[in-house]
Amino acid sequence: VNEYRSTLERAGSNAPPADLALERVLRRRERKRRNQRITAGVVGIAVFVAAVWVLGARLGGETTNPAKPPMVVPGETKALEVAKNFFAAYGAFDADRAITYLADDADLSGIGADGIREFRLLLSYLEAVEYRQLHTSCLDVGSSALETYVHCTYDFHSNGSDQIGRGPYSGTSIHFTVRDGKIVRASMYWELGKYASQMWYPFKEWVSTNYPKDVAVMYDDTYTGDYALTPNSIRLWKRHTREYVEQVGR
Amino acid sequence: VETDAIELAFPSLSFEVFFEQERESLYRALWLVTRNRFEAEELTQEAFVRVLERWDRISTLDDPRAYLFRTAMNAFRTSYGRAVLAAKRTIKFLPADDAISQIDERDAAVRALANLSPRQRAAVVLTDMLGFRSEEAAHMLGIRASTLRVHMSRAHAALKESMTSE
Repeated sequence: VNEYRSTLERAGSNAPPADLALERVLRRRERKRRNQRITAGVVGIAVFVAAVWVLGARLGGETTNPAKPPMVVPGETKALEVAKNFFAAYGAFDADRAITYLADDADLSGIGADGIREFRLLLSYLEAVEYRQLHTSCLDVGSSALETYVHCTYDFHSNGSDQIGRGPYSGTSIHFTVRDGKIVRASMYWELGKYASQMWYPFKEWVSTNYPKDVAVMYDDTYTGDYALTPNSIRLWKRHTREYVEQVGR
Repeated sequence: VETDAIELAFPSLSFEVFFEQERESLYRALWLVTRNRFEAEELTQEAFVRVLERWDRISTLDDPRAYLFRTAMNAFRTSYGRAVLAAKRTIKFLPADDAISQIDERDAAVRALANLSPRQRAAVVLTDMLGFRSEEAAHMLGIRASTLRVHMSRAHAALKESMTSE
C-alpha cells in the first residue's frame, strides 16, 4: 500500500492551484442560507394557496367541479427505457437480456462486477441468496452533451429476509449512465445499515458456527470479507441460504 | 479569566484552523478523483460549507477529518451532486479543465488514473493515499465492500503499470 501512497501523493501534488479562501466558503454558506429562506417562503405560500384552493373547492361543491384535465405523462426518454429494462432483467437474474442493454465496454465495477463474466456470476449470486427487488422507481435526472443519467431507487430483500419476516430494506439506489442507447456505466449505492445488522452479520455468524470450513469459500477476505464471486461460493450461498431460512423461520 | 476567554474564543478546534489543515489535501484528493480542478474546487467548497453548518457537533468528534471526507464523497457520489455538476458543465458554469492533458503528459500515475472510473479512483485515493480503512472507504462511497475490492484491484493494476513504465 505504501508504494501506492507515495505515487498518489506525487500525482496529487500536480493539482493546479485552487482558489480556496475561507471567505468563499463563508459567502457560499450565506448564499445557501438565503436560498433556504426563500425556498421556505415559497413553500409556505404554496401550502397556503393549496389550502385556500381545497377549501374553496369543498365549499363550492359539485357545481364548480370542472372537468379534470388529462394527466400529462412526460414521454419516457430512450435512456430511461434502457435503464428500466436493464434493471428489470437484473432483478430477474436474466444476464443474457441484461447484457443486451450494455455497451461493449460498459463499466460495471460500481455494482461489484469486473467485466461481463463477473456480472453473470453476480446475478447467479443474487439468485442464490434469493434477492428480490421491489418498489422500483426510475428517473431521468439530467444529461450532458453525450450522456444521460438515470437514477433508480428500490427496496430489496436478500438472504431470505422476506421469508423470515424481516425487511424489505430501503434507501438503496442504482445510477446509470447511458450513451447512444446503451448503458456505459452502472454504479450502486447500498444502504446497508439495517440489512447488515438484521441479515448479513447474523447469517455470517450462522455459517461460521455451522459450516466453519465454508466461510473461506463463501467470503472474500482479500480486503473486506464480502461475498466471493466463484461458482463454488455461489453453490454454498444457495444451499446455506435455504437452510438458514428453514432454521430461522421455524 | 484569561484562560476562560481563550477557551471561549477557540472552543475545541476552530473551523478556521481545521479549514487550513485540510483544504489542500481534500482538494488534491478530489482533483485526482474528478480530474477537473473546477469540479474539485466546487466539491471542496460544498463539503466545507456542510461541515461548517454542523461545526458545533463535528468539532467535538474524534475524527472531524473523516466526517469532512465522507461529506465530500457524499456530495460527489449523490445523483443530485452529479446531476448538478453535469448541468453546470453543460451550461458552461464549469469549464473543461484543459490543464489536465498537460499534467497527463508529465505524470504517468495521473495518466494511469485517467483510464479508471471516478469511483475506482476514489477507492484508491481514500484507502491508499488518505489511509482510510477499506470498510470506512466503502461506506463513504456508498458501495459494498466487494465493490470496493473490485475498484481497488483495477486501480492497483493501472498504478502498478504506470510505476513500472517510469
